[in-house]
Amino acid sequence: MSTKETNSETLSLDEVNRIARLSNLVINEEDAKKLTHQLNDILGYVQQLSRLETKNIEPMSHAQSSSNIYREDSAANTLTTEEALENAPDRSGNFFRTPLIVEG
Amino acid sequence: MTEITDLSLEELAKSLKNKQFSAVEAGRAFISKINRAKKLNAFITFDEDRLLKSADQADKNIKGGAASLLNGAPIGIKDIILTKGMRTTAGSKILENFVPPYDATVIKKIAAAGGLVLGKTNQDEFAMGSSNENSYYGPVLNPWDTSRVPGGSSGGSAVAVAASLAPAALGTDTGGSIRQPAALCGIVGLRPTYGRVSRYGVVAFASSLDQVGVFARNVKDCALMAQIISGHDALDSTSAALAVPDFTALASKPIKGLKVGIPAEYFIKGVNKEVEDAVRAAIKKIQELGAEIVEISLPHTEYAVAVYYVIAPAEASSNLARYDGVRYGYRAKGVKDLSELYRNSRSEGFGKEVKRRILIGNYVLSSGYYDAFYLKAQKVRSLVAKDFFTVFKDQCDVIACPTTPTTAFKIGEKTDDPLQMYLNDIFTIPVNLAGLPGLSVPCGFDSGGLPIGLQLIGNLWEEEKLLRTAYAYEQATDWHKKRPRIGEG
Repeated sequence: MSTKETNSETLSLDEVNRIARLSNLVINEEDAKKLTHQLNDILGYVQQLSRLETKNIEPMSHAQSSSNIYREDSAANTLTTEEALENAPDRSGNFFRTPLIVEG
Repeated sequence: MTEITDLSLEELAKSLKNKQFSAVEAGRAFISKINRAKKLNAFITFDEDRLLKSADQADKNIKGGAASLLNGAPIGIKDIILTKGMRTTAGSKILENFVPPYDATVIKKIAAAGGLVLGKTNQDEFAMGSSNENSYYGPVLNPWDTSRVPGGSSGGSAVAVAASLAPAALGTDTGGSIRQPAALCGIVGLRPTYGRVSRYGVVAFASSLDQVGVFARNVKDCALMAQIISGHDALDSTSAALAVPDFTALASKPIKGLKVGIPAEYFIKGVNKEVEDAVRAAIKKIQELGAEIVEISLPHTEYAVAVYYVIAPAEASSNLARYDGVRYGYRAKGVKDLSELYRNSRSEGFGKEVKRRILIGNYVLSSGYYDAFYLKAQKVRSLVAKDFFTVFKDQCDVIACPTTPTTAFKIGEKTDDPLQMYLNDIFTIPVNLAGLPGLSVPCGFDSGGLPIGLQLIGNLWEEEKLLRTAYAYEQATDWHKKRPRIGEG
Protein backbone atom coordinates (compact mmCIF):
# COMPACT_ATOMS: atom_id res chain seq x y z
CA MET A 1 0.00 0.00 0.00
CA SER A 2 2.80 2.38 -0.83
CA THR A 3 1.81 5.92 -1.62
CA LYS A 4 5.22 6.65 -3.10
CA GLU A 5 4.23 6.45 -6.71
CA THR A 6 5.75 8.60 -9.44
CA ASN A 7 4.38 11.75 -7.76
CA SER A 8 5.71 14.04 -10.44
CA GLU A 9 4.13 17.48 -10.34
CA THR A 10 1.43 16.79 -12.93
CA LEU A 11 -0.70 19.73 -11.99
CA SER A 12 0.42 23.34 -11.60
CA LEU A 13 -1.22 25.96 -9.40
CA ASP A 14 -2.48 27.71 -12.55
CA GLU A 15 -4.11 24.52 -13.73
CA VAL A 16 -5.83 24.00 -10.39
CA ASN A 17 -7.24 27.50 -10.70
CA ARG A 18 -8.34 26.81 -14.26
CA ILE A 19 -10.13 23.57 -13.25
CA ALA A 20 -11.76 25.42 -10.34
CA ARG A 21 -13.12 28.00 -12.78
CA LEU A 22 -14.45 25.23 -15.03
CA SER A 23 -16.07 23.65 -11.96
CA ASN A 24 -17.75 26.93 -10.96
CA LEU A 25 -15.82 26.99 -7.69
CA VAL A 26 -14.00 29.91 -6.13
CA ILE A 27 -10.88 28.85 -4.26
CA ASN A 28 -8.69 31.20 -2.26
CA GLU A 29 -4.95 31.29 -2.79
CA GLU A 30 -4.03 29.36 0.33
CA ASP A 31 -6.51 26.55 -0.39
CA ALA A 32 -5.39 26.43 -4.02
CA LYS A 33 -1.80 25.79 -2.92
CA LYS A 34 -2.83 23.04 -0.54
CA LEU A 35 -5.12 21.52 -3.17
CA THR A 36 -2.36 21.56 -5.78
CA HIS A 37 -0.22 19.49 -3.44
CA GLN A 38 -3.05 17.07 -2.55
CA LEU A 39 -4.25 16.64 -6.14
CA ASN A 40 -0.70 15.91 -7.27
CA ASP A 41 -0.43 13.27 -4.56
CA ILE A 42 -3.65 11.64 -5.73
CA LEU A 43 -2.93 11.91 -9.46
CA GLY A 44 0.62 10.68 -8.83
CA TYR A 45 -0.84 7.61 -7.18
CA VAL A 46 -3.30 7.17 -10.05
CA GLN A 47 -0.46 7.20 -12.55
CA GLN A 48 0.45 3.63 -11.57
CA LEU A 49 -2.32 2.65 -14.00
CA SER A 50 0.01 3.53 -16.87
CA ARG A 51 2.13 0.49 -15.94
CA LEU A 52 -0.62 -1.77 -17.32
CA GLU A 53 -0.91 -2.59 -21.00
CA THR A 54 -4.57 -2.04 -21.94
CA LYS A 55 -4.48 -1.67 -25.71
CA ASN A 56 -7.02 -4.39 -26.43
CA ILE A 57 -9.12 -4.02 -23.30
CA GLU A 58 -12.69 -2.74 -23.57
CA PRO A 59 -13.47 0.16 -21.21
CA MET A 60 -16.06 -0.65 -18.56
CA SER A 61 -18.42 2.27 -18.12
CA HIS A 62 -21.04 0.59 -16.00
CA ALA A 63 -21.39 -2.23 -13.50
CA GLN A 64 -23.73 -4.06 -15.79
CA SER A 65 -24.09 -4.19 -19.50
CA SER A 66 -27.38 -2.54 -20.25
CA SER A 67 -29.31 -1.31 -23.20
CA ASN A 68 -31.94 1.35 -23.60
CA ILE A 69 -35.15 0.70 -21.76
CA TYR A 70 -38.34 2.01 -23.30
CA ARG A 71 -41.80 2.61 -21.99
CA GLU A 72 -45.07 3.78 -23.40
CA ASP A 73 -45.29 7.54 -23.80
CA SER A 74 -48.27 7.93 -21.52
CA ALA A 75 -49.37 10.61 -19.09
CA ALA A 76 -48.85 9.96 -15.39
CA ASN A 77 -49.09 11.90 -12.16
CA THR A 78 -45.69 13.28 -11.24
CA LEU A 79 -44.66 16.29 -9.16
CA THR A 80 -47.07 19.19 -9.25
CA THR A 81 -45.78 22.65 -10.12
CA GLU A 82 -46.20 23.65 -6.49
CA GLU A 83 -44.19 20.65 -5.28
CA ALA A 84 -41.45 21.31 -7.80
CA LEU A 85 -41.19 24.91 -6.60
CA GLU A 86 -41.37 24.09 -2.89
CA ASN A 87 -37.62 24.18 -2.40
CA ALA A 88 -36.89 27.15 -4.63
CA PRO A 89 -34.63 29.70 -2.92
CA ASP A 90 -36.55 32.39 -4.79
CA ARG A 91 -39.60 32.27 -7.02
CA SER A 92 -41.98 34.49 -8.88
CA GLY A 93 -45.33 32.90 -9.55
CA ASN A 94 -44.68 29.59 -11.20
CA PHE A 95 -41.05 30.42 -12.03
CA PHE A 96 -37.68 30.09 -10.37
CA ARG A 97 -36.28 33.59 -9.97
CA THR A 98 -32.56 34.30 -10.51
CA PRO A 99 -30.49 37.49 -10.69
CA LEU A 100 -30.07 39.22 -14.01
CA ILE A 101 -28.89 36.91 -16.80
CA VAL A 102 -28.64 39.26 -19.78
CA GLU A 103 -28.49 43.05 -19.69
CA GLY A 104 -31.65 44.19 -21.41
CA MET B 1 -36.61 -8.82 29.87
CA THR B 2 -34.33 -7.49 27.17
CA GLU B 3 -34.79 -3.78 26.59
CA ILE B 4 -36.89 -2.96 23.53
CA THR B 5 -33.94 -1.20 21.91
CA ASP B 6 -31.73 -4.28 22.26
CA LEU B 7 -34.16 -6.63 20.52
CA SER B 8 -33.25 -7.86 17.08
CA LEU B 9 -35.42 -6.57 14.24
CA GLU B 10 -37.05 -9.99 13.93
CA GLU B 11 -37.85 -10.09 17.67
CA LEU B 12 -39.07 -6.49 17.63
CA ALA B 13 -41.45 -7.10 14.71
CA LYS B 14 -42.72 -10.27 16.37
CA SER B 15 -43.29 -8.58 19.75
CA LEU B 16 -45.21 -5.80 18.01
CA LYS B 17 -47.35 -8.31 16.19
CA ASN B 18 -48.10 -10.14 19.44
CA LYS B 19 -48.91 -6.81 21.13
CA GLN B 20 -46.30 -7.35 23.86
CA PHE B 21 -45.83 -3.60 23.54
CA SER B 22 -47.10 -1.05 21.07
CA ALA B 23 -45.24 0.65 18.23
CA VAL B 24 -45.66 3.92 20.17
CA GLU B 25 -43.95 2.34 23.20
CA ALA B 26 -41.17 1.06 20.96
CA GLY B 27 -40.86 4.53 19.40
CA ARG B 28 -40.59 6.09 22.88
CA ALA B 29 -37.90 3.58 23.86
CA PHE B 30 -35.80 4.54 20.82
CA ILE B 31 -36.41 8.27 21.40
CA SER B 32 -35.20 7.96 24.98
CA LYS B 33 -32.15 5.94 23.96
CA ILE B 34 -31.24 8.32 21.13
CA ASN B 35 -31.56 11.32 23.45
CA ARG B 36 -29.23 9.68 25.96
CA ALA B 37 -26.66 8.93 23.25
CA LYS B 38 -26.70 12.36 21.60
CA LYS B 39 -22.95 12.80 21.86
CA LEU B 40 -22.44 10.01 19.30
CA ASN B 41 -24.06 12.40 16.77
CA ALA B 42 -25.56 9.49 14.82
CA PHE B 43 -28.56 11.45 13.56
CA ILE B 44 -28.79 14.65 11.52
CA THR B 45 -32.58 14.93 11.63
CA PHE B 46 -34.71 13.28 14.25
CA ASP B 47 -38.39 14.21 14.57
CA GLU B 48 -39.97 12.69 17.70
CA ASP B 49 -43.52 13.82 16.92
CA ARG B 50 -43.44 12.50 13.41
CA LEU B 51 -42.12 9.14 14.62
CA LEU B 52 -44.79 8.80 17.31
CA LYS B 53 -47.52 9.79 14.89
CA SER B 54 -46.47 7.13 12.39
CA ALA B 55 -46.11 4.61 15.25
CA ASP B 56 -49.65 5.38 16.36
CA GLN B 57 -50.87 4.65 12.84
CA ALA B 58 -48.91 1.38 12.85
CA ASP B 59 -50.62 0.39 16.11
CA LYS B 60 -54.00 1.06 14.54
CA ASN B 61 -53.05 -1.14 11.60
CA ILE B 62 -52.00 -3.97 13.93
CA LYS B 63 -55.23 -3.64 15.91
CA GLY B 64 -57.11 -3.85 12.64
CA GLY B 65 -55.40 -7.20 12.07
CA ALA B 66 -53.06 -6.01 9.31
CA ALA B 67 -49.85 -7.91 10.05
CA SER B 68 -46.80 -6.97 8.02
CA LEU B 69 -43.12 -7.89 8.05
CA LEU B 70 -42.12 -5.01 10.32
CA ASN B 71 -45.35 -4.07 12.18
CA GLY B 72 -44.22 -0.55 13.00
CA ALA B 73 -40.54 -1.20 13.70
CA PRO B 74 -38.57 2.01 13.09
CA ILE B 75 -35.61 1.94 10.69
CA GLY B 76 -32.67 4.36 10.58
CA ILE B 77 -32.30 6.02 7.17
CA LYS B 78 -29.05 7.45 5.83
CA ASP B 79 -29.60 11.11 5.08
CA ILE B 80 -28.77 10.65 1.41
CA ILE B 81 -32.12 8.87 0.89
CA LEU B 82 -35.11 11.12 0.14
CA THR B 83 -37.94 11.15 2.67
CA LYS B 84 -41.05 13.07 1.71
CA GLY B 85 -41.65 16.00 4.02
CA MET B 86 -38.55 15.23 6.10
CA ARG B 87 -35.35 17.20 5.59
CA THR B 88 -32.70 15.34 3.56
CA THR B 89 -29.24 16.92 3.61
CA ALA B 90 -26.85 14.25 2.26
CA GLY B 91 -24.52 15.54 4.99
CA SER B 92 -24.06 18.80 3.09
CA LYS B 93 -24.63 22.46 3.86
CA ILE B 94 -25.87 22.87 0.29
CA LEU B 95 -28.97 20.78 1.15
CA GLU B 96 -29.35 22.05 4.72
CA ASN B 97 -32.96 23.15 4.17
CA PHE B 98 -33.98 20.68 1.46
CA VAL B 99 -37.31 18.98 2.20
CA PRO B 100 -38.00 16.39 -0.53
CA PRO B 101 -41.41 16.44 -2.21
CA TYR B 102 -41.29 12.66 -2.73
CA ASP B 103 -40.04 9.43 -1.15
CA ALA B 104 -37.23 7.26 -2.49
CA THR B 105 -38.44 3.85 -3.69
CA VAL B 106 -36.68 2.11 -0.76
CA ILE B 107 -38.64 4.29 1.68
CA LYS B 108 -41.90 3.29 -0.03
CA LYS B 109 -40.85 -0.36 0.20
CA ILE B 110 -40.11 -0.09 3.91
CA ALA B 111 -43.49 1.59 4.46
CA ALA B 112 -45.20 -1.17 2.46
CA ALA B 113 -43.55 -3.70 4.79
CA GLY B 114 -44.92 -1.82 7.81
CA GLY B 115 -41.64 -0.13 8.75
CA LEU B 116 -41.29 3.48 9.96
CA VAL B 117 -38.67 6.13 9.33
CA LEU B 118 -36.86 6.40 12.67
CA GLY B 119 -34.69 9.37 11.68
CA LYS B 120 -32.08 10.54 9.21
CA THR B 121 -28.58 9.33 10.02
CA ASN B 122 -25.34 11.28 9.78
CA GLN B 123 -22.90 10.66 6.95
CA ASP B 124 -19.94 12.06 5.06
CA GLU B 125 -21.04 14.84 2.72
CA PHE B 126 -22.52 13.29 -0.44
CA ALA B 127 -21.16 9.93 0.84
CA MET B 128 -17.60 11.05 0.12
CA GLY B 129 -15.47 9.78 2.95
CA SER B 130 -14.34 6.82 5.02
CA SER B 131 -14.56 8.30 8.51
CA ASN B 132 -17.72 10.43 8.72
CA GLU B 133 -15.47 13.43 9.40
CA ASN B 134 -16.64 15.09 6.17
CA SER B 135 -20.14 15.74 7.47
CA TYR B 136 -21.26 19.37 7.66
CA TYR B 137 -23.19 18.25 10.76
CA GLY B 138 -20.11 17.12 12.67
CA PRO B 139 -18.31 13.80 13.05
CA VAL B 140 -19.99 10.65 14.38
CA LEU B 141 -18.23 8.92 17.28
CA ASN B 142 -17.50 5.20 17.38
CA PRO B 143 -19.46 3.72 20.32
CA TRP B 144 -16.64 1.25 21.08
CA ASP B 145 -14.20 4.11 21.64
CA THR B 146 -15.51 7.63 21.25
CA SER B 147 -12.08 9.03 20.34
CA ARG B 148 -12.26 6.99 17.13
CA VAL B 149 -14.13 7.23 13.84
CA PRO B 150 -17.04 4.89 13.06
CA GLY B 151 -15.97 4.60 9.43
CA GLY B 152 -17.88 6.11 6.55
CA SER B 153 -19.58 7.23 4.67
CA SER B 154 -22.66 5.64 6.33
CA GLY B 155 -21.20 6.24 9.81
CA GLY B 156 -24.43 7.41 11.43
CA SER B 157 -26.39 4.34 10.31
CA ALA B 158 -23.63 1.99 11.50
CA VAL B 159 -23.40 3.69 14.91
CA ALA B 160 -27.18 3.83 15.33
CA VAL B 161 -27.38 0.06 14.86
CA ALA B 162 -24.22 -0.77 16.86
CA ALA B 163 -25.34 1.36 19.84
CA SER B 164 -28.94 0.02 19.72
CA LEU B 165 -30.37 3.39 18.67
CA ALA B 166 -32.03 1.56 15.75
CA PRO B 167 -32.77 -2.13 15.13
CA ALA B 168 -31.58 -1.78 11.52
CA ALA B 169 -30.66 0.99 9.12
CA LEU B 170 -30.20 1.79 5.44
CA GLY B 171 -26.92 2.98 4.00
CA THR B 172 -25.36 3.39 0.59
CA ASP B 173 -22.12 1.79 -0.59
CA THR B 174 -20.17 3.36 -3.46
CA GLY B 175 -16.67 2.24 -2.44
CA GLY B 176 -17.28 0.46 0.86
CA SER B 177 -19.54 2.93 2.68
CA ILE B 178 -21.63 0.14 4.22
CA ARG B 179 -19.10 -2.66 4.71
CA GLN B 180 -16.30 -0.50 6.14
CA PRO B 181 -18.36 1.21 8.90
CA ALA B 182 -20.09 -2.14 9.64
CA ALA B 183 -16.64 -3.66 10.24
CA LEU B 184 -15.43 -0.73 12.35
CA CYS B 185 -18.61 -0.76 14.47
CA GLY B 186 -18.95 -4.53 14.93
CA ILE B 187 -22.21 -5.14 13.04
CA VAL B 188 -23.40 -6.80 9.83
CA GLY B 189 -23.51 -4.71 6.65
CA LEU B 190 -24.66 -5.84 3.22
CA ARG B 191 -24.11 -4.11 -0.10
CA PRO B 192 -26.30 -5.96 -2.61
CA THR B 193 -25.43 -6.50 -6.27
CA TYR B 194 -25.54 -3.32 -8.36
CA GLY B 195 -29.09 -3.18 -9.72
CA ARG B 196 -30.66 -5.30 -6.96
CA VAL B 197 -32.04 -2.24 -5.17
CA SER B 198 -33.58 0.85 -6.77
CA ARG B 199 -31.56 4.07 -6.56
CA TYR B 200 -34.61 6.23 -7.31
CA GLY B 201 -34.71 9.05 -4.79
CA VAL B 202 -31.15 8.49 -3.59
CA VAL B 203 -28.90 11.53 -3.97
CA ALA B 204 -26.41 10.54 -6.68
CA PHE B 205 -22.67 10.37 -5.98
CA ALA B 206 -21.16 7.99 -8.58
CA SER B 207 -24.00 6.43 -10.51
CA SER B 208 -22.18 3.38 -11.87
CA LEU B 209 -21.03 2.41 -8.36
CA ASP B 210 -23.75 3.56 -5.91
CA GLN B 211 -25.98 0.96 -4.31
CA VAL B 212 -28.36 1.05 -1.33
CA GLY B 213 -27.86 -1.61 1.33
CA VAL B 214 -28.50 -2.45 4.96
CA PHE B 215 -27.05 -2.61 8.47
CA ALA B 216 -28.26 -4.91 11.25
CA ARG B 217 -26.90 -6.55 14.39
CA ASN B 218 -27.30 -10.06 12.99
CA VAL B 219 -27.35 -11.77 9.61
CA LYS B 220 -31.03 -12.77 9.61
CA ASP B 221 -32.13 -9.17 10.20
CA CYS B 222 -29.84 -8.08 7.41
CA ALA B 223 -31.43 -10.68 5.10
CA LEU B 224 -34.91 -9.48 6.06
CA MET B 225 -34.11 -5.84 5.32
CA ALA B 226 -32.42 -6.76 2.03
CA GLN B 227 -35.51 -8.66 1.01
CA ILE B 228 -37.75 -5.72 1.81
CA ILE B 229 -35.81 -3.12 -0.20
CA SER B 230 -34.81 -5.26 -3.22
CA GLY B 231 -36.61 -5.52 -6.53
CA HIS B 232 -37.13 -3.96 -9.92
CA ASP B 233 -38.28 -0.36 -10.14
CA ALA B 234 -39.51 1.22 -13.34
CA LEU B 235 -38.18 4.54 -12.01
CA ASP B 236 -34.57 3.27 -12.02
CA SER B 237 -33.61 1.88 -15.41
CA THR B 238 -30.49 0.26 -13.91
CA SER B 239 -32.51 -1.81 -11.44
CA ALA B 240 -32.72 -5.42 -12.56
CA ALA B 241 -35.95 -7.10 -13.60
CA LEU B 242 -35.24 -10.14 -11.45
CA ALA B 243 -37.35 -11.88 -8.84
CA VAL B 244 -36.17 -11.25 -5.27
CA PRO B 245 -35.12 -14.49 -3.59
CA ASP B 246 -36.35 -15.34 -0.09
CA PHE B 247 -33.13 -14.18 1.57
CA THR B 248 -34.26 -14.97 5.13
CA ALA B 249 -35.12 -18.59 4.31
CA LEU B 250 -32.01 -19.10 2.19
CA ALA B 251 -29.68 -17.71 4.87
CA SER B 252 -30.10 -20.80 7.05
CA LYS B 253 -29.22 -23.32 4.32
CA PRO B 254 -26.05 -25.31 5.23
CA ILE B 255 -22.70 -24.30 3.75
CA LYS B 256 -21.32 -27.80 3.34
CA GLY B 257 -19.48 -28.07 0.06
CA LEU B 258 -19.50 -24.32 -0.59
CA LYS B 259 -16.17 -23.25 -2.05
CA VAL B 260 -14.64 -20.24 -0.30
CA GLY B 261 -11.77 -18.52 -2.10
CA ILE B 262 -8.97 -16.78 -0.20
CA PRO B 263 -7.32 -14.11 -2.36
CA ALA B 264 -3.57 -13.75 -1.72
CA GLU B 265 -3.75 -10.05 -2.67
CA TYR B 266 -5.91 -9.26 0.39
CA PHE B 267 -3.33 -10.51 2.89
CA ILE B 268 -0.54 -8.06 2.24
CA LYS B 269 1.85 -5.77 4.08
CA GLY B 270 -0.12 -2.98 5.64
CA VAL B 271 -2.83 -5.25 7.02
CA ASN B 272 -2.76 -5.09 10.80
CA LYS B 273 -1.57 -8.39 12.33
CA GLU B 274 -4.54 -8.68 14.68
CA VAL B 275 -6.96 -8.09 11.80
CA GLU B 276 -5.23 -10.74 9.69
CA ASP B 277 -5.21 -13.26 12.56
CA ALA B 278 -8.92 -12.75 13.27
CA VAL B 279 -9.84 -13.11 9.59
CA ARG B 280 -7.72 -16.25 9.19
CA ALA B 281 -9.32 -17.75 12.31
CA ALA B 282 -12.75 -16.97 10.87
CA ILE B 283 -11.84 -18.71 7.61
CA LYS B 284 -10.70 -21.76 9.58
CA LYS B 285 -14.04 -21.77 11.39
CA ILE B 286 -15.92 -21.61 8.09
CA GLN B 287 -13.86 -24.58 6.91
CA GLU B 288 -14.79 -26.54 10.06
CA LEU B 289 -18.42 -25.79 9.28
CA GLY B 290 -18.10 -27.73 6.03
CA ALA B 291 -16.95 -25.23 3.42
CA GLU B 292 -14.03 -26.00 1.16
CA ILE B 293 -11.20 -23.44 1.26
CA VAL B 294 -9.35 -22.68 -1.97
CA GLU B 295 -6.44 -20.32 -2.62
CA ILE B 296 -7.22 -17.83 -5.37
CA SER B 297 -5.62 -14.81 -7.00
CA LEU B 298 -7.14 -11.46 -7.97
CA PRO B 299 -4.05 -9.96 -9.60
CA HIS B 300 -5.38 -6.47 -10.37
CA THR B 301 -6.46 -5.70 -6.79
CA GLU B 302 -3.64 -3.22 -6.24
CA TYR B 303 -4.96 -0.98 -9.04
CA ALA B 304 -8.53 -0.73 -7.74
CA VAL B 305 -8.06 2.37 -5.56
CA ALA B 306 -6.40 4.24 -8.43
CA VAL B 307 -9.23 3.28 -10.79
CA TYR B 308 -11.83 4.32 -8.24
CA TYR B 309 -10.29 7.74 -7.63
CA VAL B 310 -10.62 8.53 -11.31
CA ILE B 311 -14.07 7.07 -11.99
CA ALA B 312 -15.90 8.06 -8.79
CA PRO B 313 -14.80 11.74 -8.89
CA ALA B 314 -15.52 11.89 -12.64
CA GLU B 315 -19.09 10.72 -12.11
CA ALA B 316 -19.44 12.90 -9.00
CA SER B 317 -18.31 16.05 -10.79
CA SER B 318 -21.06 15.50 -13.35
CA ASN B 319 -23.73 14.57 -10.79
CA LEU B 320 -22.91 17.54 -8.56
CA ALA B 321 -23.12 20.05 -11.42
CA ARG B 322 -26.85 20.26 -10.64
CA TYR B 323 -26.22 22.17 -7.41
CA ASP B 324 -26.37 25.72 -8.68
CA GLY B 325 -28.56 27.53 -6.18
CA VAL B 326 -31.42 27.98 -8.62
CA ARG B 327 -34.09 25.32 -8.12
CA TYR B 328 -33.32 23.99 -4.64
CA GLY B 329 -30.53 23.97 -2.11
CA TYR B 330 -28.31 26.72 -0.76
CA ARG B 331 -28.22 30.07 -2.57
CA ALA B 332 -25.44 32.60 -1.89
CA LYS B 333 -26.48 36.10 -0.94
CA GLY B 334 -25.48 39.43 -2.49
CA VAL B 335 -24.50 38.24 -5.96
CA LYS B 336 -24.49 40.51 -8.98
CA ASP B 337 -25.28 38.07 -11.76
CA LEU B 338 -26.16 34.47 -12.53
CA SER B 339 -22.62 33.14 -12.95
CA GLU B 340 -21.64 34.59 -9.58
CA LEU B 341 -24.75 32.97 -8.11
CA TYR B 342 -23.57 29.57 -9.38
CA ARG B 343 -19.98 30.05 -8.22
CA ASN B 344 -20.73 31.46 -4.79
CA SER B 345 -23.56 29.06 -4.00
CA ARG B 346 -21.34 26.07 -4.83
CA SER B 347 -18.24 27.47 -3.12
CA GLU B 348 -20.12 28.30 0.09
CA GLY B 349 -22.32 25.19 0.00
CA PHE B 350 -19.83 22.37 -0.66
CA GLY B 351 -17.26 21.15 1.86
CA LYS B 352 -13.54 20.56 1.28
CA GLU B 353 -13.60 16.88 0.27
CA VAL B 354 -16.48 17.41 -2.14
CA LYS B 355 -14.62 20.28 -3.82
CA ARG B 356 -11.48 18.15 -4.01
CA ARG B 357 -13.37 15.40 -5.81
CA ILE B 358 -15.14 17.79 -8.17
CA LEU B 359 -11.72 19.17 -9.15
CA ILE B 360 -10.23 15.70 -9.69
CA GLY B 361 -13.30 14.68 -11.68
CA ASN B 362 -13.30 17.68 -13.94
CA TYR B 363 -9.56 17.37 -14.45
CA VAL B 364 -9.64 13.72 -15.54
CA LEU B 365 -12.57 14.43 -17.84
CA SER B 366 -11.04 17.53 -19.38
CA SER B 367 -9.71 17.73 -22.88
CA GLY B 368 -6.19 16.33 -23.15
CA TYR B 369 -6.45 14.17 -20.00
CA TYR B 370 -9.54 12.12 -20.77
CA ASP B 371 -7.71 9.25 -22.49
CA ALA B 372 -4.78 9.15 -20.08
CA PHE B 373 -6.93 9.12 -16.95
CA TYR B 374 -10.61 8.41 -17.50
CA LEU B 375 -10.48 5.97 -20.40
CA LYS B 376 -7.45 4.24 -18.88
CA ALA B 377 -9.27 3.82 -15.56
CA GLN B 378 -12.32 2.37 -17.31
CA LYS B 379 -10.11 -0.17 -19.06
CA VAL B 380 -8.40 -1.20 -15.83
CA ARG B 381 -11.86 -1.41 -14.25
CA SER B 382 -12.56 -4.16 -16.80
CA LEU B 383 -9.46 -6.01 -15.63
CA VAL B 384 -10.39 -5.73 -11.94
CA ALA B 385 -13.89 -7.04 -12.71
CA LYS B 386 -12.56 -9.84 -14.91
CA ASP B 387 -10.41 -11.11 -12.03
CA PHE B 388 -13.58 -11.76 -10.03
CA PHE B 389 -15.56 -13.30 -12.86
CA THR B 390 -12.67 -15.66 -13.62
CA VAL B 391 -12.54 -17.09 -10.09
CA PHE B 392 -16.34 -17.24 -9.74
CA LYS B 393 -16.53 -19.20 -13.00
CA ASP B 394 -14.88 -22.34 -11.73
CA GLN B 395 -12.79 -21.79 -8.59
CA CYS B 396 -15.08 -20.62 -5.79
CA ASP B 397 -18.60 -19.55 -4.76
CA VAL B 398 -17.67 -16.91 -2.22
CA ILE B 399 -14.51 -14.93 -1.45
CA ALA B 400 -13.42 -14.32 2.16
CA CYS B 401 -10.97 -11.60 3.19
CA PRO B 402 -10.59 -8.65 5.59
CA THR B 403 -13.10 -5.80 5.17
CA THR B 404 -10.51 -3.20 6.24
CA PRO B 405 -6.74 -3.27 6.73
CA THR B 406 -7.03 -1.86 10.28
CA THR B 407 -9.58 -1.34 13.04
CA ALA B 408 -11.12 2.10 13.70
CA PHE B 409 -8.57 4.93 13.58
CA LYS B 410 -8.49 8.10 15.69
CA ILE B 411 -10.64 11.09 14.79
CA GLY B 412 -8.40 13.59 13.02
CA GLU B 413 -5.69 11.01 12.25
CA LYS B 414 -6.06 11.05 8.45
CA THR B 415 -7.92 14.28 7.72
CA ASP B 416 -4.88 16.12 6.34
CA ASP B 417 -3.84 13.32 4.01
CA PRO B 418 -6.68 12.42 1.62
CA LEU B 419 -4.64 9.73 -0.12
CA GLN B 420 -4.05 7.84 3.16
CA MET B 421 -7.77 8.11 3.84
CA TYR B 422 -8.58 6.69 0.39
CA LEU B 423 -6.26 3.71 0.92
CA ASN B 424 -8.37 2.63 3.86
CA ASP B 425 -10.91 1.38 1.29
CA ILE B 426 -8.46 -0.84 -0.57
CA PHE B 427 -10.39 -4.07 0.14
CA THR B 428 -13.91 -2.78 -0.38
CA ILE B 429 -13.51 -0.77 -3.60
CA PRO B 430 -12.89 -3.71 -6.01
CA VAL B 431 -16.41 -5.03 -5.26
CA ASN B 432 -18.02 -1.77 -6.39
CA LEU B 433 -15.97 -1.61 -9.57
CA ALA B 434 -17.24 -5.07 -10.54
CA GLY B 435 -20.82 -4.43 -9.33
CA LEU B 436 -20.75 -7.41 -6.95
CA PRO B 437 -22.50 -8.00 -3.63
CA GLY B 438 -20.36 -7.79 -0.49
CA LEU B 439 -21.01 -8.30 3.19
CA SER B 440 -19.10 -7.60 6.39
CA VAL B 441 -19.72 -9.73 9.47
CA PRO B 442 -18.06 -9.32 12.90
CA CYS B 443 -15.17 -11.75 13.39
CA GLY B 444 -13.39 -10.57 16.53
CA PHE B 445 -11.80 -7.68 18.39
CA ASP B 446 -8.28 -6.31 18.55
CA SER B 447 -6.37 -5.97 21.84
CA GLY B 448 -7.87 -2.49 22.28
CA GLY B 449 -11.40 -3.92 22.15
CA LEU B 450 -12.17 -2.60 18.66
CA PRO B 451 -14.27 -4.72 16.29
CA ILE B 452 -12.85 -6.53 13.24
CA GLY B 453 -14.87 -7.43 10.14
CA LEU B 454 -14.73 -10.43 7.83
CA GLN B 455 -15.68 -9.50 4.27
CA LEU B 456 -17.51 -11.97 2.05
CA ILE B 457 -17.79 -11.24 -1.67
CA GLY B 458 -20.13 -13.06 -4.05
CA ASN B 459 -20.87 -13.33 -7.73
CA LEU B 460 -23.56 -11.14 -9.31
CA TRP B 461 -27.03 -11.81 -7.80
CA GLU B 462 -25.61 -14.30 -5.28
CA GLU B 463 -26.25 -12.38 -2.05
CA GLU B 464 -27.80 -15.60 -0.78
CA LYS B 465 -24.39 -17.34 -0.61
CA LEU B 466 -22.94 -14.45 1.40
CA LEU B 467 -25.84 -14.47 3.83
CA ARG B 468 -25.62 -18.25 4.14
CA THR B 469 -21.88 -18.21 4.89
CA ALA B 470 -22.20 -15.29 7.30
CA TYR B 471 -25.16 -16.87 9.09
CA ALA B 472 -23.41 -20.22 9.57
CA TYR B 473 -20.33 -18.42 10.90
CA GLU B 474 -22.38 -16.14 13.16
CA GLN B 475 -24.27 -19.09 14.66
CA ALA B 476 -20.96 -20.76 15.50
CA THR B 477 -19.47 -17.66 17.16
CA ASP B 478 -20.40 -15.05 19.78
CA TRP B 479 -18.95 -11.86 18.29
CA HIS B 480 -22.33 -10.44 17.32
CA LYS B 481 -23.57 -10.73 20.91
CA LYS B 482 -20.99 -8.28 22.25
CA ARG B 483 -22.30 -4.72 22.39
CA PRO B 484 -20.49 -1.50 23.15
CA ARG B 485 -21.05 0.11 26.54
CA ILE B 486 -21.61 3.70 25.58
CA GLY B 487 -21.05 6.43 28.11
CA GLU B 488 -24.52 7.94 28.05
CA GLY B 489 -25.31 11.50 29.00
